Amino acid sequence: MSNRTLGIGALVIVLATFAASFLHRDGLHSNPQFLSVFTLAKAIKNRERIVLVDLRSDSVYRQLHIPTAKNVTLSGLDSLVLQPDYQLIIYSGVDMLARQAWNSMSEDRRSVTKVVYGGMGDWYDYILYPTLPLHPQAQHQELIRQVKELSSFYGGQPEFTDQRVQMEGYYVDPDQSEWPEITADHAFVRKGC
Amino acid sequence: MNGPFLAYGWIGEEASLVFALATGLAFGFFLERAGLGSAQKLTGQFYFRDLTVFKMMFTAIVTAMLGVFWLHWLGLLQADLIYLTPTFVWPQLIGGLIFGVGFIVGGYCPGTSCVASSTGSLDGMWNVMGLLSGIFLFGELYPYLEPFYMSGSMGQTTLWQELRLPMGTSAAIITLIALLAFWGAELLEIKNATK
Repeated sequence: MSNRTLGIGALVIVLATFAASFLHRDGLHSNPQFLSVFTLAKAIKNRERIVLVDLRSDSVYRQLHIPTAKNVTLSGLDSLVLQPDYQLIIYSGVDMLARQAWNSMSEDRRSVTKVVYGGMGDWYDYILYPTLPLHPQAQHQELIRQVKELSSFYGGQPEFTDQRVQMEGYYVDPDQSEWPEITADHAFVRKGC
Repeated sequence: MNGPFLAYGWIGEEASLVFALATGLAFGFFLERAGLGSAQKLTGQFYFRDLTVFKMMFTAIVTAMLGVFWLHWLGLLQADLIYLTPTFVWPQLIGGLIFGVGFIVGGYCPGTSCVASSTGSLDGMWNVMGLLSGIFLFGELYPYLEPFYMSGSMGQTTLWQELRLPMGTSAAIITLIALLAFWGAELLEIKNATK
């Protein structure tokens, strides 16, 4: 094969790559609709029509899980029967299992599924044991009041700091968000007695 | 089945080490077959006489880069789950400089010195001893070097993220640059061969 042929082949690949990049920037795979743990906490409290699924192992699930969540493994997810008008919401520890579940889901199942952004990690850090500002900005006061109420409702305990606290974690755009960065998984243990 | 296989739990730690061993064996084999066990060929690129190393390495980079992009685009690989070595600008800049000086003085880079050693080359073996000594010396001096070693941290980042371009656009541009560079390398080799 001559260098000319190789060069032409390479140029074709370059053009195809440019085209793929502009036509479908994120590729053929689709990202799910996410919801924040803040939205989920309110949905559970308000008894909305959701089926919450924890994808982690049984032992980890028993240690701590989001209230009302069922423990279903990846292989059992396909056979899960969903009632009409119910939304399926899945989560895992740090979104690895949730990502795996989403990738292997059928299109029909995906249309009724949302993923908890940040999984159990965000539930632990933003609902159960959130770190809240001691002197919040005016636009965050209502949010902080709601977070304190939810944390208390779920048996958590907020901590307060006079350092600046990022409140963006409570807002997740369901249509624009991408999978969060995977951080190291760790055990989630209830604090206190 | 999606990749990375280890991240998704399709393979365990032990199997990943077997994959690493097999990949390393293949890498060494193809380096040697491409002639990169020869110090003459390796240093020839610095005099623009023989740019085989440049062409081979850049081809490998471009192939891997396009492979990662297309597998990610097709949904077979989650590229954002691939581990990236964090960027530390200053130590990597200085380390690269020292590496370059060592390369042209010794005639080998660390990988090719191992390749040369495996064929019984004495200068390759001396190079390996030099690099192991350097690693040992670095370890001993680490407490004093640590502040500099950790300076200029940019975290795990990619060129397309820094340039704020789509991954595919960045890959296509780099491939185009590579093709131009290969053409330029050919011209340089012809020019220097006639001298």
